[in-house]
Amino acid sequence: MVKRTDITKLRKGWFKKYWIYYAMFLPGGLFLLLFNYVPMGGLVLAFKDYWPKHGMFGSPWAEPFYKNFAVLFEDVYFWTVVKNTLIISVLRFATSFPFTIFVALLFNELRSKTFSKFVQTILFIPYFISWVIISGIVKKVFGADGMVDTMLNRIGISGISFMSDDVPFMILLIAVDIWKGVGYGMVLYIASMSAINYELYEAVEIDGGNRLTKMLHVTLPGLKLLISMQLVMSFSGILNGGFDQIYNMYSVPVRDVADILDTYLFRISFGEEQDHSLSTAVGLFKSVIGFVLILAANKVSNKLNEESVL
Amino acid sequence: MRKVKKLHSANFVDVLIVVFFILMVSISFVPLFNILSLSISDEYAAITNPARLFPDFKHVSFVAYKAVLKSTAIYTSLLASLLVVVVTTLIHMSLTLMVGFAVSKNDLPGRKVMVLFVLFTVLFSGGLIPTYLTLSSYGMINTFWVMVLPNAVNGYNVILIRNHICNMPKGLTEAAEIDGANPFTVFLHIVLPLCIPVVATLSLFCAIGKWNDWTSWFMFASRVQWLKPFQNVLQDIVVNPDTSNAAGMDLSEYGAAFSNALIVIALVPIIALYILTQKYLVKGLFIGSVKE
Repeated sequence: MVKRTDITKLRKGWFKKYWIYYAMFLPGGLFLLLFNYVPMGGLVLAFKDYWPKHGMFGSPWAEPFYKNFAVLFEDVYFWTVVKNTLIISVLRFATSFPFTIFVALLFNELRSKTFSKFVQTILFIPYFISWVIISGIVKKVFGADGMVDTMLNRIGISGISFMSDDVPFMILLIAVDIWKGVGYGMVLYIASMSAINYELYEAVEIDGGNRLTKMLHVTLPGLKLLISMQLVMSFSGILNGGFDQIYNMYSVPVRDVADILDTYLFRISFGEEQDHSLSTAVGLFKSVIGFVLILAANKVSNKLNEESVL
Repeated sequence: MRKVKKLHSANFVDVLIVVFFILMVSISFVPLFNILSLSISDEYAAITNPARLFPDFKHVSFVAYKAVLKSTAIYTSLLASLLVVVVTTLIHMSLTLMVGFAVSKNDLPGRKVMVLFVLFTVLFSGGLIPTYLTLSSYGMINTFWVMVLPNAVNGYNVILIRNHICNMPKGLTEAAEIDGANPFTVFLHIVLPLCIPVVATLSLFCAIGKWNDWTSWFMFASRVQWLKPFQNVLQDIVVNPDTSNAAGMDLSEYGAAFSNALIVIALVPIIALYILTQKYLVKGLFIGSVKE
């Protein structure tokens, strides 16, 4: 039997032992509460009619409460935007994901240390350049009378406008994204490769396997965890589509194919067609789907890897 | 005989791989060379050959650079960006490190709830308008603080730092605790010095991310002109030269060379910083990506 006084003593000791940890958590926790959790509470606005005078929590409930969603789901343009987002995300994923792994596997085969260092340095640079600058460069190089236009004219090809024709613009969008991200992705994979047990390679060598066997049977399986991590990430970000890039690169002629959920959300939040309740509804739609997708993808990946990605 | 043949085929593959990477590196750099040569070309050279990769040395002109360096809007925006970057990075790193250290204590009562509290903010968010209205109800819209305080704690980085601290040899901290050091002393004198590579990497990513951020000002502080970050000035001049008033400057007399020069000037510090800190960056990425 434990006496009451012992428990109080234990409690006091417990607080004395740990209070500094709680004190160190407190400022950060408070920031998360104020800047992350309070806005989450503000999502109730998706079910309200926003009246600026009454604010986020004081505005009256919509009649019926799902009115904003009804308006949204009946809007043909909303579905166009969702379709564009999905197409762009899938295209991005289908190209950059395998390409990055391919480049990393080839990089791993480079023999000269100096050369690989040089390649890594150069390919990593675009990752740090802002989309504002990159879009500026792309608009100049691919725009009318830019470098590419001039070169194409010289070999007799004219009439392709990368910035305002649908298909060339989409190709450009994806290509520029790969150009910006491939160096970073490559370094991630190489980091993961460095953790592969060297004895596995020696075993393949003893069995008489060549470089291709090593690449396919040791290196690639060694990347399984990272690959599934990247899969979970891209899968849950499928409704993102790359706001920074598209907002800075698109223009009215390509809006039919390049307007994504985030650019649409941005326009109804801050642009010409402002509607705070509708915008919150779009945001909630996006957040919920993203949340469900990341949990689902994580569950599947756990089953495959027997280790949690999250 | 067989051995020689095998060696030959291996060499051929090696050459192919090297050629592949030379191609990739060139593709990466051709657009930048084009912009660089156009930025130091005079109007004649720029119009006769917009596809040039090298300047025509008979028609070199630095007028655009002089114009950029004379513009006060550029200097004020650079200073504003620098201020925001430094303050954000300091707040971000100190809060994130403290939270990461707190949740790395394995026997801390309530630790699981605290980790969930942090992790959930990564998985779910309130979205644009609720965030805007929240900041507005705090009276932060169009103030300096709206540029530095939101997102001061990043859930990902907290988890990254926690994992890193958990991977440290336990003996170090335990010995100090037995000697009677309080957790804050342990944090300052034992944990922090061992975290320097990770802290360096995360600070760099935070700083570069903030330097490249144009949305905060655009959405939350666009009435405060003195705070206008460099990226937003760039956006006016380089991305939307037709629709904006280009930061109140008359650019017509310099033509396209002005924006080319501005791009080059914007690239130099980023590339220099990257090359100087490359070693840390890559090392930090290695720490972050390898789960032990």
